[in-house]
Amino acid sequence: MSKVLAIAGRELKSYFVSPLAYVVAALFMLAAGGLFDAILMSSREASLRALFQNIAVVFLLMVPALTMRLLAEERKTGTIELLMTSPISDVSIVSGKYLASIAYLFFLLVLTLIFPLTLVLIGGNPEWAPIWTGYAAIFLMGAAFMAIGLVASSLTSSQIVAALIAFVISLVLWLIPAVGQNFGTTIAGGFQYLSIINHLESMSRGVVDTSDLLYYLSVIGASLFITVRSVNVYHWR
Amino acid sequence: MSFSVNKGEILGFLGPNGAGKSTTMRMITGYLAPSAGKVTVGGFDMGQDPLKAKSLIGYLPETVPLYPEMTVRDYLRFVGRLKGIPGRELNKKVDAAISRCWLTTYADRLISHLSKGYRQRCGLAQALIHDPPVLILDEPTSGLDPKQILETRDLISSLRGEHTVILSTHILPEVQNVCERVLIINQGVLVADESPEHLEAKLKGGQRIRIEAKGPLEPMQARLAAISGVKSLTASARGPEFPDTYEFSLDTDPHDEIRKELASAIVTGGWELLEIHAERMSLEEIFLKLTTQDALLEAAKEEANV
Repeated sequence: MSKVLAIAGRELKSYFVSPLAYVVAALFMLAAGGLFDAILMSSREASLRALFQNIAVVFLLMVPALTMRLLAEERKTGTIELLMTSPISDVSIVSGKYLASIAYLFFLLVLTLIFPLTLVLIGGNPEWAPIWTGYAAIFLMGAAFMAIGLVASSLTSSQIVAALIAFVISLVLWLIPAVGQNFGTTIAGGFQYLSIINHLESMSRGVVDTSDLLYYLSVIGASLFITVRSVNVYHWR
Repeated sequence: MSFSVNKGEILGFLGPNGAGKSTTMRMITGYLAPSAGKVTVGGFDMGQDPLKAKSLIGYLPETVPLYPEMTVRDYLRFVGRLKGIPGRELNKKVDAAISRCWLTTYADRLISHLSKGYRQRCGLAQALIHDPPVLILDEPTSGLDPKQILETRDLISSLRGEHTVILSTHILPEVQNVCERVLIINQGVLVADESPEHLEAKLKGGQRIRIEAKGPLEPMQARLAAISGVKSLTASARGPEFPDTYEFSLDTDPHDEIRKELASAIVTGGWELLEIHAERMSLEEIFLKLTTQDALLEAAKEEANV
């Protein structure tokens, strides 16, 4: 476990000693703040539901850029050789990497707590349950994107290619209900379930359905599993 | 290719670039899985028990695995944690590795600001940090200046006895100075497994001629040994399928061409000469490839000694 934390810690540190972490956080807050302002002014509702939907779009575009370097860079510079010849399992390497990206995601979302705070400060009386379930949902969704990004980063030593793969997979999961519309209602329902955005919508209404949780956890679990297998393949080429 | 290394031994891998030295080392350290065969480190099978086997190894890869945005000290702390050094010993071990690899004045510099030589030292410190019983060093002196090369060699020599070291190089004097045993690899094949002294004798001092002949053993042997230029001679039977057929292996002076005398000795004796050839041409070729890069270093070494 200490080794997992060592990997995660190093990863986070390298984010925060470079301008990248701050630039990304600043741009993210700029986008989120602008959206918050626009939504609040037009709806005049003390709610964050629409904001979460919009943050999801920002994540779709931003997360691939955050995750692209995770494994691709280690392979490019050869430091993966250090990790893989140290007494540490492939699972721990992947866990450490994932933990770091989740921690950064958490940091970004903590920054956005300024929005519900603003709602209170300007005299609004927001309903808290959908805000907290919305946060849980956006966190899970971001975590799912991060996991997809990690898979992509494990597949290539080129960061750009990794970012593109991550973006395409995420986009497919986003748009997949459109495919289902050509089929009967049962199949369409199945495709609806595969949509990464639908679960965010249902959770940010304030109701936590286990099927939503299960969806995100399955995407994360499957992605991490594939990443571990893909890292394992490095031993064979 | 099969070989084993004894505890406390310093073994050199010698071979031209692209010979398979790095690949072999990557297999020993568990980075690459062998497509056939197996690696055992300190009794642990790399395939079965990789974590135990890996914890015994310190490894300096060919491209030094550094994170440029970290300081030397942070980097070594990170590697120390990866290798499983407990927290209370970490600072002590990091300091020891820093001073052992002459990095004290650079300990708090960013790795991205270090020159190639110091990066190489940093890689060496990383390999030594957990005091591993086995050290695998892939070209530990590449990119260093002559003074640093000598220091690094001294450091490696000081590991003799307590650590088992395998190092690779394409520089011949390096193995002569440091190693007790040399493996020469060419195109993935083990060409020689010798002590440096033997190797030198083999490369410079002698030529081996192999003769296969049919006839009575003793008279043939006596006749061959009597020829001037033959330093030593061993004979072995070819086995029951080839009655009266023997294989002679002769060490001779390389400057004398005595194959003609050897051949006529057999023929005039009334025996059958089946085969005669001079051996080790491939080794000589490798040696040539190795020594072409060598002249530079020899000159540098002399300079450093002055």
